[in-house]
Amino acid sequence: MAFVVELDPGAEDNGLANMLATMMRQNVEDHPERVDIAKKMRGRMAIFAEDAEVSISIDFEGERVLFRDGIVGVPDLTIRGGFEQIGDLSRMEQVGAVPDPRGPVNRALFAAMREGKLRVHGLPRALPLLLGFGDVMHVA
Amino acid sequence: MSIKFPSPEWTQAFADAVNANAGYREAGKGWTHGKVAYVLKADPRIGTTEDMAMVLDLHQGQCRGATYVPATEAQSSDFVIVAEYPRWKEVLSGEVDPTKAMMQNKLKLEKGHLPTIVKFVVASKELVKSATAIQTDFPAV
Repeated sequence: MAFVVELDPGAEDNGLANMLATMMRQNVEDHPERVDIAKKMRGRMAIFAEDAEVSISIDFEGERVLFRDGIVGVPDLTIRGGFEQIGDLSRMEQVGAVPDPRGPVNRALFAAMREGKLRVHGLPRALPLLLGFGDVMHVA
Repeated sequence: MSIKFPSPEWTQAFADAVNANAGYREAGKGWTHGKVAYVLKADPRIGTTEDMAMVLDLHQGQCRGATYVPATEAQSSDFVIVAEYPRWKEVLSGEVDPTKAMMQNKLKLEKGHLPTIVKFVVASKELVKSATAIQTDFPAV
């Protein structure tokens, strides 16, 4: 079955959902090997860009990824932070499959986590979801 | 003297401001992805009866040219970003960050490769910073 990235009808006016769904579609077109990563991901992830006052949920269902408006149900993984940090998540520098601690974007994100500006809930159980999301959305 | 927005004069001033911005020169030096069109939806309150576009020909940290044209003539641009006048005013005056505006659905990428925009997010911010350097007459609506 083909892999599809869909926007829930209620998410059409959510800019963050539109952005991330478009990014995911274009990234898997550019890097077809990432389809396999996305297909293996299971669970619900929520992202809340607090200063932009926008939140989304992303359901990873194997053949389908569904972007929804707002935080729906109890997510397996929740990322809360400023819009800058949320935007930088796809610009994390990687060495192979792991984040490069020397990269300037990563250093800024780690500092934001230490300062409480970026918070990730659901770890370590949802670590595979977080790492998979990073791999699929990576743009650098 | 303030320059009226939107207008051909303002668009040229934008190009000049981009070329005067050392931050953009550095952040945009890897940009080889073509023209960017900023489309303003028609708004009779500011005298635009059709959608208009400011098209910037960006290349390796420089703006090689800029035109103010009907949006229909800007569709061949590699990137097309669309918004209503009040939203452009917020972004180009520095009140609202462009990434935040996209997350809030105030700016919409109608055409173009979003991962490339995200990769050049610092350059995008510097473009907007260039615009804030222009003494602009934003019509009140």
